[in-house]
Amino acid sequence: MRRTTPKLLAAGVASIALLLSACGGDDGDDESSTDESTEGSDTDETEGTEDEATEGGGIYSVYSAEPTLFAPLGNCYESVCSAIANIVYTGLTDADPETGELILTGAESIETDDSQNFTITLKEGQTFHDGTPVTAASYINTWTYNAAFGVGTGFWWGKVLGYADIAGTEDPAAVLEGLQEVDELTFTVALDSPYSQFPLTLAYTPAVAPMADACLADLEACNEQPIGNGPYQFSEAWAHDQSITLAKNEAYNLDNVGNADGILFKIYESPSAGLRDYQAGGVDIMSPQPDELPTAEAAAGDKILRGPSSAYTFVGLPVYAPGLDDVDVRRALSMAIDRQAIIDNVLSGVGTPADDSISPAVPGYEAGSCEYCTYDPEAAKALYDQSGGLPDDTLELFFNADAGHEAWMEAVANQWFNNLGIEVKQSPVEWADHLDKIGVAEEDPENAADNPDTIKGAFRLGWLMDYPSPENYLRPLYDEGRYVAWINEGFSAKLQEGDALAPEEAVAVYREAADIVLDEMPFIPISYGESIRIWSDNVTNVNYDITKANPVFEEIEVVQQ
Amino acid sequence: MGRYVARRLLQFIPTLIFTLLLLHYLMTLSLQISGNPVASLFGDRRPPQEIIDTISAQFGLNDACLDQTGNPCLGIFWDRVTGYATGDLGFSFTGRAVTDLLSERLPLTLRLALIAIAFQIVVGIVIGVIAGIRKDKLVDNAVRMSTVLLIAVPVFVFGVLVSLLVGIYVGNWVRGEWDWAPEWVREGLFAPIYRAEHMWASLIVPGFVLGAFSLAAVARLTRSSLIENLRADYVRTARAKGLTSRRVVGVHTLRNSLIPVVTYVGVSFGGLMGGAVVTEGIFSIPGVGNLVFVAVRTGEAPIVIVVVTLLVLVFLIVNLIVDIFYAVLDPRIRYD
Repeated sequence: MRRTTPKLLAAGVASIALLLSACGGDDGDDESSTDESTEGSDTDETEGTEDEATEGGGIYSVYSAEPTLFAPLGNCYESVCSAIANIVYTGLTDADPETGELILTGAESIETDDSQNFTITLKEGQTFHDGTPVTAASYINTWTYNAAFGVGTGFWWGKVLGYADIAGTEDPAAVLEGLQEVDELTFTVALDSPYSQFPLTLAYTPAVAPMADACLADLEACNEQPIGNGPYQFSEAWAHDQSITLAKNEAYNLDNVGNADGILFKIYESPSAGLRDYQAGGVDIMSPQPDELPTAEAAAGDKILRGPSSAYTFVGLPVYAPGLDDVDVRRALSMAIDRQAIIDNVLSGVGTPADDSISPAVPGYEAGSCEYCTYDPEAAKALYDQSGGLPDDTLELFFNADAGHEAWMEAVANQWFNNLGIEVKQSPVEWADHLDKIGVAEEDPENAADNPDTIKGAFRLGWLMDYPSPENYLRPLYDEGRYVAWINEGFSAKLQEGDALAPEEAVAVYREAADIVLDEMPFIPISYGESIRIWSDNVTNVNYDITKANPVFEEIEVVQQ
Repeated sequence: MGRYVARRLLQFIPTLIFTLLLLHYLMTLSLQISGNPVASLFGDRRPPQEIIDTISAQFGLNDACLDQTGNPCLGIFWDRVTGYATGDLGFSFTGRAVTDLLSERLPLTLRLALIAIAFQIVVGIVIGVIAGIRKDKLVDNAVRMSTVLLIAVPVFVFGVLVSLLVGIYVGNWVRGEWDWAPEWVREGLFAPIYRAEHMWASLIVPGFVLGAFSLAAVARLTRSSLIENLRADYVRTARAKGLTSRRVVGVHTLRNSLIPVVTYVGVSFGGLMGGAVVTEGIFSIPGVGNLVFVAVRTGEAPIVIVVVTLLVLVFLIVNLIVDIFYAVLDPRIRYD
């Protein structure tokens, strides 16, 4: 549930970093030792070396926009904020970027017999940045607060027993029935129905990570200087619209200890300003916009990383609308779109054509599983002609204006016109209005066709995953008549079947559910996103974490010059 | 004079009240037409309704009149204005007090505007005078050509070009070669964007960009006004008296030629505030221009209303100063 609009995350600044770092001598005297000189402790700078074992140290800078807010942490869900929260806080689990498998981070174990009652034990010795210990109570208090106070990610605990009783009550004494403390490091979670993906949902740090007692007591202060439990901590208060300065947490006892001594998130007003600053050596890690990709590539050389992101863009086809209720029409519409051409010509070559109803970022994804996503204008035309067709061969296409969708929506409209002979009326609307409009049908899917307020045309929407499970695409997007009033008993049954299985076994069942969507085509998959990062000579070991759609900040090393 | 100023200041009050009312009505209308902005805070996801409701209530967006398109929602307006009276300017969607945002951002925008005006007045008048007294000579032609160019190129193109040129092409060379130059020159003056740690130095280039359009206009106005006045009888008289050319131009002619220039500087201040939106975006300056630009898109009425009203107030004050300046420049103008 990260916000998609400000897509750009972090990037960093070099020269400033050097100035700020402990070794504040005059840089730039010799360009000789640029390689990762394991710098044998000869002629070491000043105090930059704490221990010889890790060749860490140094500070690097990262491009960022202004985050929303850090406290309550549950509101820190948009991508800019969560990028920082992910290293300032440590939750319970994580997902392997390669396989999507569950990794325990703050949790020692998560046990369950029935996928409904979980016992969570924390690793010993974890502390918050203020020195207080991380306990079972820290988690229970934070989650209860988020649920009771209508925090943005409070619904994370919607499956926990008793959620409905306290949601939005704003009662400081609220008790979430399903959370029970066993001892200082152990607590149990009872859900209202089996849900095998629950441990994976715990990988979403902003919703899950604990807040310190001091933080819950004074959220305003904690917003300015969060008290986390992660590998990096706020070394000074948030300088709004300027920077966020993180220092390595020396007391951190888990595996993902940071390499660099500090990270400076420089806050920019626009990504193109950030790119220019990168060109001038002002920031170490930068996330360029697709339309500035050529400049970024020229500036970065081989220090560029392009990785798939979990972003998934699709076009919804309300199955109650006249014409669109015919599955052949929906399939024809999908086959008539040349996704690769749109990406190449309109989206600056950034992204990949979608060929599944879930994204490559999650296990269970199978390339090419969408039969009707392959561009085939002749077959599309034939299928469309033999079906009932659309009324008057016209279709209205809704999308949100001012977010850069105009160009590719127009391309889709043109392809439909050229390949199927459909007149497409494009209707850009305001974002909030768009969401309101497409949300009407799901309130009463049965009668959506007769409701004058539901939209009767196609619409665009996108999705970023919250936790690396196929279920995180299938349920929020396609289940229970979501958006397009598509209700399919077989699909819902598969989802529920998967919920009750162990996570590894569930994937295959979810895969079957995904195939039902692809066959029925209530949604046309369009494209998968791509994250781009460029970095400067000052940093090395920049690796991409697909589940967080960010570099692994802890691993990045500063090149000592 | 004192009475005149007092009267003008009193006129500010109805103007500001009307501005507030108009802005309130426009923002209300935009909320009514485009829907509850809280929903769009969640990106492509539709959050559960109870969360939308809770957040809407926190920002006073749950008022029933916001569903009735065209309703001016005077109740909300009253709450807002009484809030202003107690120093409560409202909150942004990120929970920050608008007063905090203003105190962080307004000084930067004013500094930027100050630098722009300084460029505009000093450089604009100087090259205008030079071109005026050397009419049709090489300098004059150069000034006329370059000013036309500045006026013709839109600020968002000009700004990016200057940032690339000064900040990257020249800047990288400077940073590489000029080891002797102080830090603020290498990392501030020649930075492609604003740098908080070299505040004034890194605002000079953006200030120039912001003031460039008006600078060119001021130069041309000064030039033509000066040329016209140089033909006036009193100039011939002064010359006939044997005054030096420097005194004739510098004291007598220039002073009389500045009336239209000063008028223009006052009016252009409004344009400067609009240009600040663009310039702040290009140079990544966290000022009010970008703040209000974003707030308009996200539908954050408290920010838009307060910031724009403040800009109106600044505009009124600047133009009052301009009017007072008339009397200083031209003794024939009196305000009593």
